[in-house]
Amino acid sequence: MLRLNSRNVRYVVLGSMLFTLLFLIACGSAAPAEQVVVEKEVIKEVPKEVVVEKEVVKEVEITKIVEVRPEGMKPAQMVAATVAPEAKPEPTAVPVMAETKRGGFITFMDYNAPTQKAIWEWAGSQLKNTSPVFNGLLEFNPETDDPLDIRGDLAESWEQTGPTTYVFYLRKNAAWHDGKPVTAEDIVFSMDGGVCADCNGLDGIQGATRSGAIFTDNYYEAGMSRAIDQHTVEVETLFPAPAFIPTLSLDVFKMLPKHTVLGERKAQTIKTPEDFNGSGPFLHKKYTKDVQNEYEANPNYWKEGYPRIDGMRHVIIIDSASQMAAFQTGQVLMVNWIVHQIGVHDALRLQEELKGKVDFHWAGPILAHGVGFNTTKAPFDDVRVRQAVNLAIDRWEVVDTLSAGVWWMGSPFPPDTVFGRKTEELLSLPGYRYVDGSGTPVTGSLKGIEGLQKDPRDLDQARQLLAEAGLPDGFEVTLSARNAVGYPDEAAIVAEQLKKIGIQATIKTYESAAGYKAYDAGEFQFMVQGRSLSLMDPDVVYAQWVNSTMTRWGAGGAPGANFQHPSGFEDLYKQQSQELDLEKRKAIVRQMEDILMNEDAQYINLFWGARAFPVATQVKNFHLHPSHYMGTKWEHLWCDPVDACR
Amino acid sequence: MQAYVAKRTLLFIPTLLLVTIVIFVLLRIVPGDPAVMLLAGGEAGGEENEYSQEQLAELRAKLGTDKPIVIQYAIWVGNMARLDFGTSFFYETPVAADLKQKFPVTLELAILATILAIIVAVPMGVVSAIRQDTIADYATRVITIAGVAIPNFWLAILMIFFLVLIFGWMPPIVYVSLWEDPTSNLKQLFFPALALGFSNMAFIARITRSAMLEVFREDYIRTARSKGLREAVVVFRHALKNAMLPVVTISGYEFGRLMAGTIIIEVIFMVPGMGRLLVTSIFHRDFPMIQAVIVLITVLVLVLNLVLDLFYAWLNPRIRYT
Repeated sequence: MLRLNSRNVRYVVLGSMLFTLLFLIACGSAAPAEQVVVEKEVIKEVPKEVVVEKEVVKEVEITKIVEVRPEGMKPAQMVAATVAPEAKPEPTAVPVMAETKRGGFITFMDYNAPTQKAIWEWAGSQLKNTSPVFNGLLEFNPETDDPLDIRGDLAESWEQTGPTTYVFYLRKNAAWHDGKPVTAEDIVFSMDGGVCADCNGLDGIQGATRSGAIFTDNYYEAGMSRAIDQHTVEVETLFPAPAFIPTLSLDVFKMLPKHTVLGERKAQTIKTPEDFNGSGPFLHKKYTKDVQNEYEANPNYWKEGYPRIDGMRHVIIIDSASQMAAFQTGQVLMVNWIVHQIGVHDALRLQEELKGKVDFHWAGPILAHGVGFNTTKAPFDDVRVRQAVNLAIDRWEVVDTLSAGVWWMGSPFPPDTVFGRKTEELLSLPGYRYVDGSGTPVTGSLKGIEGLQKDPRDLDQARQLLAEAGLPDGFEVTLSARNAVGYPDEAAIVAEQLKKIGIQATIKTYESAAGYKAYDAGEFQFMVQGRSLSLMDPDVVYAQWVNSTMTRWGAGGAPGANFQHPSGFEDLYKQQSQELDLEKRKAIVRQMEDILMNEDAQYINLFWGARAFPVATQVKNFHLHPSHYMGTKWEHLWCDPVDACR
Repeated sequence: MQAYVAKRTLLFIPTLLLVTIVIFVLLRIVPGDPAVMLLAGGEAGGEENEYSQEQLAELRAKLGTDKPIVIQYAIWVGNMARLDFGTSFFYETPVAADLKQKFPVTLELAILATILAIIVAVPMGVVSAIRQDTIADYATRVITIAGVAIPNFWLAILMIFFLVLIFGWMPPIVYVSLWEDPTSNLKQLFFPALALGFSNMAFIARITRSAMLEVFREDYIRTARSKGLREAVVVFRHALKNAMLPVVTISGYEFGRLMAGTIIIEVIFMVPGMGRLLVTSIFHRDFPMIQAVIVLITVLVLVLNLVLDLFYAWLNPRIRYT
């Protein structure tokens, strides 16, 4: 039997003590204590917001656009950029919150390290980290629940002086971080640079050139703006474009200092944050690669009273379990962008668990997933077969399975939005019809209906179309899905649904990048594929069916290939894009939707998705905007109690 | 001994060369075009962007991926010979600068994991051996078998889950270096090190146990006991000392494995080391970064093995004369 005396046991004891010491150090009690404080303080105060409109300095002749919001619709479900279809938009004022609190430090969760893309690129993955440093000319008002509200950012006001002419009046006190004033020349430079990577000598600046352009280049070309005086800019558009002002108001179109970019040859990218010279509410303090971006309030910010917080950090967390744990332990207070890895079901669970501590806003519809066909290959070269699939797909089952009914069924235009159909109307159309357990058509909400199933008439019609196409017994086919963003799950549901009309789909999954390669080579029959939505405007929504990667894939994938709808869809697209009359535009958009629903769709939507946007309850004045590219400057947020934001 | 050293060192070169060829070719064989990934985005649930074929061709030319694979390899190896690891496709920053920043973090994590593993494993193995076939031994064997069997990423997720569930706490999310704030640094690295070192701990405990049992059967132990030495003296002074040689060697080899095994642990615990860099680089098809990280890990493992082999040869002449 072993006998240990105290002299020899000491090694074992020493080892154990060292281990215990390390454990104790690692489990220090600071963080849990912080969390408790947050929880207590949040409960006791509810701030009152008193909105007072500031005086609009320059009066302009305006026509106020009154948008009738569909009954019962939540503001967040409204679309953001269906505004300004008429000649003279209203320059909205900057509201001042009477009972705001100053101070505090907000820790945001960031889903990924920022990309090194140029600042004007259509990439939220850089925007989320650069946006707080810069301003736009206009912005979607982040301080109201009305997502139709556009207000001036660097522009104090603006007016439309002709069908294609806009005049912007800049704030006279606006200044860059280096103290120089923001001038009309800067705006002209940025307008041109935003749409043309090779203009104004930008191509010679490392990091300034970009691989993708922003949407405004549909309406504006370099050279179409001019400085009238130091604080006034006149901008022409290519044609009367109702979507011009909304696209210009997205966070992605930032104004940059000409003297820094061209004069000092400093591209404004996150690659060299020390070169940043924005005009925005925050100064970029430090980027620790793969760890965090740190910001401090701009002490000389020209908007009085902004920003409300002292600073913020965007901490990069790329694992979904860790992201959730960070919210559960109160180490992060909100996300810095709509994109993150927390899935819908996990978000719904967290929403319940963190009730009273974290509010979960649901941003959407902001992404669309659907089924795209290769129209150069049998059997989907026959429009009747595509229509049959369109009719047979059970969209509600997809929505209910993947999002517990949070998302929307995939009509071509998002339902219950200004340009979209109401859900009630949608439910009466072929492909979207449902019956309850007794066989009665459902006309309202589909949630929780006993025995809900797809209307047999849709399936019968689908079978008939297949018979007309010479495929009465169905066929075997391969359904492709990239292993990304949930596509394989969606493909599995679709494949199962199509069995009902005799289509036996074998799912072929691709590693994400490999999928792109196969689609580019036209090596697919049909696929599940999605896209994000920057703006709920017909120009953006219907671009998917006009001239996009999807239409190229639909025509076989070769460079220059493009699927053309024989029914004049493309002409209608151009027509609506230039229609300033809202009602007329709506009518055209409806006509386009009918074509996609009934005549000829190369791509059919499965669902319109939403993402959770968690925000801790101590963070005040957060208003959700249903886009990837809005409201990411954060100058308007404040904390109450201030101490709860650290 | 000199001939042995020269032989082992020369073997180092073809091994490294082979690794560079394998990793380079594998990355090109595996489907996925870095230019497409950069243009389309869509990683991690992000937005998916439209791009034109012209943009694609332009970016391929910029990245150099439009060149024949042999040329690409020659350029890469040539640059690497001059310690130029190239520029990251995704971050557009010099790869070497990133490695310099990330390597110490991973090294610290691996060292901490090794320390934790040894501190726990050696006493565990000793107790298990001296109390063979008792409850303590069975418990140790169950724990060590579990340790070897459980994947460390799963253990890491469980750790976070239980820390949050029971204590409402998780390690700090913002990494601070050891020199900046040792306490915060240890707070953040303790649990990842524990998760990372758990399988090592199990392995070392098993090795310690079997080495101790083997030594216990040696004649000199019997002699020591028959001299009337106290059992503790026999165990610690005679048995443990001799049983430690394979444990030290195995720990050294395992350290190399740990360096390569930090990948998922770093992602889960938000440790900004080489493992996390490798994961994000794989997602982005950032060839120069992936290649450099793997080559660095390979060199490290090779050097470590070389040093251990030489050390072993120095200790045991039978090895260097065979």
